[in-house]
Amino acid sequence: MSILEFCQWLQDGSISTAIRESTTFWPVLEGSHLLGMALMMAPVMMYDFRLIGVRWKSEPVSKVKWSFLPLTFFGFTLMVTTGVLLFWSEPLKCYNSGYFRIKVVALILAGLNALVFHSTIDRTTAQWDTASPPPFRARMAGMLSLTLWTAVIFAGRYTAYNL
Amino acid sequence: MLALIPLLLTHAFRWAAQGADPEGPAQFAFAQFPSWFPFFSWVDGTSMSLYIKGTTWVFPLVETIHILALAALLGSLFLIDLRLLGIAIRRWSPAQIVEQVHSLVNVSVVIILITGVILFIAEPRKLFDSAAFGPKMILLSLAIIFQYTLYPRVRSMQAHIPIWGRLMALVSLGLWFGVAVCGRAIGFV
Repeated sequence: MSILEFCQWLQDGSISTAIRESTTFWPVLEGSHLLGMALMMAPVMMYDFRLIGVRWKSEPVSKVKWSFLPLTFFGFTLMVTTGVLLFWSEPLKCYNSGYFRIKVVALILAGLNALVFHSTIDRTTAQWDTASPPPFRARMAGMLSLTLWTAVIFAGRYTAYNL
Repeated sequence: MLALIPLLLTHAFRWAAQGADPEGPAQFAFAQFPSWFPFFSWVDGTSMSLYIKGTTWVFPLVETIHILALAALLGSLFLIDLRLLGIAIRRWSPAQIVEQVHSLVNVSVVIILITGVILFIAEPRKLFDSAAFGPKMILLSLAIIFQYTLYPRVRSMQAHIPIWGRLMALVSLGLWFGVAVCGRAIGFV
């Protein structure tokens, strides 16, 4: 089954139709997606700002990380849940949208950036916990994270415009 | 600009006193008050409005920046307010969090206002008839007054948070959340 066939099959299902045609659930879903964005972006920005070395400069990196990570995960869960349901409601529109493809690519890159960061430089945090600015690779990870999440938001919003 | 606030408040009370009329304009729209029409109509005819309407790229770009700044603002306030309520980030005091995010809040407010004015210029006639735009402007006025008068007292809060600190968190969340919901509703109603 190709991706297009999968999207077609998903769109023809009763759940997709129910969400798409609902006059209250869909706006609530989209509103929650936006709310989740705010809830997730702020803690992500705080940690990235510390990694880049522009905020929380006198605080240990590990302390900044562990104080904002729970909120990030909460926001991320809300984003994924509402995001999956939103995709479910109009998979064909998403499939045909160039911006949605950019969003998916940016999401994958943001995930890879986090994965690489956590499996390399993040493991040695203890050695540069109080350094400001932190090592180059940590600053790069923070900068990439901010850029990629901004790209995700841009591409996400542009998916809805039918440009 | 400040003179608009009491005017908007007066209108809020008049809306509350008024019943719904299915034949007339939407209950909470500026269209309820014909005296506003010349202003909306004038903005609609300005060269900037005509320019934006003639392009396809200005509106999406400005609106996306508007939403990006909204995420930064609402998110930053979430951090402070959730701390005030004792729900998250208990490793730091509200005062410490405010110290780190207040510049982000101010920059976001400025970007939101600038992009918001451009979005208004782009489609004043639609907003004149919108049932969500009127309430949004009232909540926005209240939110900004609250943000820059009472809310800065949060800066003095260390580990112990008095009951009025929690109240301020709820008012702050309620007002800005209301602004966001009404704003999103402009696209739906």
